[in-house]
Amino acid sequence: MPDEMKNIYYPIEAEVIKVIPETPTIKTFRFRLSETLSFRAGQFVQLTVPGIGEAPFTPSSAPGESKELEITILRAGRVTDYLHDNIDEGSRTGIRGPFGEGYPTDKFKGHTVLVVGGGVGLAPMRAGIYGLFQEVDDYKRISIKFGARTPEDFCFAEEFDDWAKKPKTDLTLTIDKPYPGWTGRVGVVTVLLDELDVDIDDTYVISCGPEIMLKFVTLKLMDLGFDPYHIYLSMNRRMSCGLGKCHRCNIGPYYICKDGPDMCYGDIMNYPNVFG
Amino acid sequence: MSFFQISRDSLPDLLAALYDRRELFWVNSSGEGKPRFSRAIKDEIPDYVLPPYRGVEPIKGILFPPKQEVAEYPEPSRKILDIEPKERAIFGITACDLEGIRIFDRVFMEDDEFIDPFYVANRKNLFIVTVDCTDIYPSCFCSLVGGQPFPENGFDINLTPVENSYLVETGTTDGEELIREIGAHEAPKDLITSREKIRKAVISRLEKQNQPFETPKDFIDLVTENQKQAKSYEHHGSTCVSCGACTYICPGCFCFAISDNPLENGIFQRSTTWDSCQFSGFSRMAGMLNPRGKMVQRFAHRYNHKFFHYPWRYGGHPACVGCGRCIDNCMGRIDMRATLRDLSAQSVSAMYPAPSPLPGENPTGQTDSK
Repeated sequence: MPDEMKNIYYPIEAEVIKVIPETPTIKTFRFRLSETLSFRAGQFVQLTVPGIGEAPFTPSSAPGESKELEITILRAGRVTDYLHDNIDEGSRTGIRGPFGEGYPTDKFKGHTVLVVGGGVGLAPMRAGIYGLFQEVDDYKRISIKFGARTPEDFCFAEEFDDWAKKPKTDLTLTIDKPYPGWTGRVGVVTVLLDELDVDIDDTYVISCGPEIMLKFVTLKLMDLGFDPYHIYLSMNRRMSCGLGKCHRCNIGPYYICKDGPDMCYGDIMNYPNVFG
Repeated sequence: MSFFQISRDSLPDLLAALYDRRELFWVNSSGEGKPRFSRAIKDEIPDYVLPPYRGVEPIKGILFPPKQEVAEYPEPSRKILDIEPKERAIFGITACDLEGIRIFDRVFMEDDEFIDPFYVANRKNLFIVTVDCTDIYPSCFCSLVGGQPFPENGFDINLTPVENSYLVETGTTDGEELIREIGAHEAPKDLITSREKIRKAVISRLEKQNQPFETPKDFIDLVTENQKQAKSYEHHGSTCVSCGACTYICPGCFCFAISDNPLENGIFQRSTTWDSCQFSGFSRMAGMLNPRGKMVQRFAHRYNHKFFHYPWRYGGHPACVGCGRCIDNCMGRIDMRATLRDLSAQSVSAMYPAPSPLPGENPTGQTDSK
């Protein structure tokens, strides 16, 4: 069968085998796929909720080849509300993908990687972080900065201790406002950037979070003297086809679905409406 | 490529030969008014009239239908689709619509990574009969976007009315076989010379008509360099009501949406449908975030897609063929040529006047306060 006859619109079957509540508004869904799927860190999939619609998500499980996949989902709209309310173990869904370029990890090798995440942005970052840990010898250092509204809003908090113990890795957390029992840092995630101790010229940044966070993280990084071509942002855009055809997710000439979803800030900074 | 001559009377023979072996569509100028695109009707073949210019409608629907069923799931048998190529022919399209097909080809058939099997099935065996433009609309502007009013390749057969016959140029062996079948004979040299004269005359009319819109730089450079200066977009887009007519009528617009509908027994049907970047919901995300929530952002986006994003990705070709349909069908009377020309204007005073709505109509839909 020639390649051209592959149906690019057909989702493979994905059965939900576990639902893990992470925070009051975030759940992780584990899927068993009808066939093996292989994805690189930063790539995303289109999740089909039968009869409801498709929505793009970057998996939160480790990149590579597997018949299982995890996606961590915040309640945020029609499809995600339905997922939270109606999808449980045994539910049948569909997946298309993977799509996008993913992180250019080859570029990062030999350098420090600064990971800046906020809120549910930690979910796709986890796949990225697992990817970095898989090849930790290739990096100079992995510095992770996470922010959330309250301590309850951190997903994967139970894994943080393990991450901090990995070689060459450090992890710092902050929450937006003081909270009973929290003794760590307080303030939005950019406060952690004020006290960066990385070699700025030798560091690549990957960041994921709400658009407003990405904007202020980027402004702060630029203030600190980062090269815009060293900053990779997980851009928020409506993605539908995932194929670089339907043209709703573009920033300038780039399709976020095909060239991203993590975009080099240097490439997009001069185009309109980068941060909405 | 070979040249033949057929008499005007033999046009029905050519149509009948195609009708017998293919599903035939045509752009037909036989009725009153402008040429129209439709499925060919056998009884109307004797009355068919070759159009002097493009049809009212684009022909993209036969390649990329307004609604295309693309999958049924979960149903593994529908994953790989052994779609039979459709044996179709399109008769009487002009160079601009042929270029429109090329715009779609690059996206759906020649993409390095994802090929749309449904498009391929519609396109692969499409037999194309083109015609030279012998007249122009006031809105025609192919010459401003690198086109010309006649095709040079990409057709099976091209027809030029010359004197009291047709000069036929064949572009494929299929085309040549068919034309020989209906008894064509080789064209005399002077007929080809006459075609050149006719072509030059139409080009010069086009150029004269569009002379006021000429710019020192081509439209691709103008749009690409004007990423954050939206004065012309604000000025000329002031009467836009985001109706989307310009995109649906455009032979180079291909944006689509994917939707699922339940069938019986837990099976869902997935379809692609035409969408429009001019609609406010086109890029709206969960949480009502919208990078193009303002009309002027969507207005500018359309120009950017056609003259920056598309050529950037697809070898420098714009996603505009200069057919002028968007001008003819705009209720806000927006002229794409004026918007583009004024991108280089330093101030609003140096621009064409902002368009005014049609007399007696109000594009905002609000009642007049007077």
